[in-house]
Amino acid sequence: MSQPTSSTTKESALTRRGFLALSGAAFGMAASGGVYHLAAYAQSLKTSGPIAPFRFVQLTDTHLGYVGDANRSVMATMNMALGQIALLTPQPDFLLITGDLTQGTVSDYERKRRLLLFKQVLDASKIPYYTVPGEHDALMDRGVLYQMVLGDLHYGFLHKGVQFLGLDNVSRGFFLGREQLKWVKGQLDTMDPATPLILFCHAPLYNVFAPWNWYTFDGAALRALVARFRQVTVFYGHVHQVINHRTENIAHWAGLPAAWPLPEPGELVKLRRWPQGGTHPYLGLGYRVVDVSASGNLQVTNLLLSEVKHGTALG
Amino acid sequence: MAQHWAKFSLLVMCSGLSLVSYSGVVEAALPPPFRHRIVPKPIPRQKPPVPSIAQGAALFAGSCLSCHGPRGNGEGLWTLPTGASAPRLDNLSTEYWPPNKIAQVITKGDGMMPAWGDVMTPLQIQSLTLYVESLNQRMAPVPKTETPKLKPQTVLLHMSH
Ligand code: HEC
Repeated sequence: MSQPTSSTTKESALTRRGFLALSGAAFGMAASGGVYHLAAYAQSLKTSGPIAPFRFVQLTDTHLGYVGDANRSVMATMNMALGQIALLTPQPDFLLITGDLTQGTVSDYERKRRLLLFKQVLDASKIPYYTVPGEHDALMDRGVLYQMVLGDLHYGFLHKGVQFLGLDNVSRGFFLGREQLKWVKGQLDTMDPATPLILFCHAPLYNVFAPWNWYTFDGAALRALVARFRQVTVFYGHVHQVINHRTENIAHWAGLPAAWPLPEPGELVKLRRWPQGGTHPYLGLGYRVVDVSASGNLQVTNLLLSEVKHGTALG
Repeated sequence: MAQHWAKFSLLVMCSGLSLVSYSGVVEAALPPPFRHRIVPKPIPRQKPPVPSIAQGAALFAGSCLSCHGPRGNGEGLWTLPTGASAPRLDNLSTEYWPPNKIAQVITKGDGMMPAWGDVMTPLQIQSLTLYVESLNQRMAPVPKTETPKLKPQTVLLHMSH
């Protein structure tokens, strides 16, 4: 009954070809490099092609290297999360890790060691992953060591018809800066506004609570750049709790932290973490499963570490 | 008699103050003998942007108090990633921190101090510099504005002859 008209057939054929070429390129890069977050940007990119449903996981604020009361073993907690994620069915195509991978330190040597350790643990998990820096990883040296170990501070990639942009709003302060905004504009200018867009970064792209640096100074400029896109979602960390919010056409989602929870914003008091509880050690800790449908809609599920009884990685 | 004059000057003082914002209306509201004496210049619609302590204070509240504290005394509401605190900004010596050096550290950053020049305009940074200077009880040069503000004393002077 519903025969496609010749024009739509032609369009989808073109789209499909573009898509195949791109996935070929992406595959080539992944196979050759082993670094997963190489920008799979072909310059010819206009439309993103059909969306194939897939799943990914957001993990954030693992703070590897932290020693203290707020989490008595960040490594064990991270392994626990990775162990649970490894058992998910269906499997996620990749992890998005939204910053504060490591705990901040004045020592360049120690920072590099922590970043390398993080990379080693993630590489061993065999799940592809994409990271962006948090201020703990990058503010001390403006992201120099982060770049050395994990790659670009900002980049984009296309996955099964969905455009991802990883952004850096921490390495020189809580802003994107003119240069990065120009780069984002360049990426988006040639893009079909029907392309589902997923942005991921460490700090929120709207003002959650500036007195605790829970904001991005030039977030409004970024939001204006994506205003013409129909499906825009931001996944971020930094605030160590789930916060959902909408601005204009954008859904903003803060993810459960892996290291320790933080209080809700609002009071003009100093931000403090509290000691890990003896009875509920994993209070407020977890990760997020995101299922992308063929229409580009997202189904978001937050999983608390304490909810899953796998008895996995943690001894 | 003296009391009468005091009341009168108070009235004119008030008019003088409101004159800054409501020039047109005030002129008509003044008692007839003085009307011709106070002819304020029309206020231009759009003032050229000038740096101001007020703008600096607003920017500080939005972007600096997290690390440097609401009073700029280093009692921030957010701890730096290393566990350290940002320095206080209310005891900067004039000798080591002349305005151009304050402006430069705000623009370029320093260690964990953000490089605000990446994102703020020179005007915003000038305003912040004025504000930071004002935290130090130094005389910040007040920038010239286009409209001369009519001070109450001026009005009194006019009246007394
Ligand atoms: C992320 C935390 C942070 C924020 C936000 C921040 N600063 Fe700083 N600032 C610092 C740190 C840390 C230093 C010390 C730098 C050093 O010497 O290593 C500093 C130093 C300074 C200095 C030099 C004083 C000195 O003794 O070194 C000035 C002036 C200053 N900041 C102004 C500002 C202004 C104005 C803002 C807001 C636009 C601001 N800062 C926002 C962390 C911050």
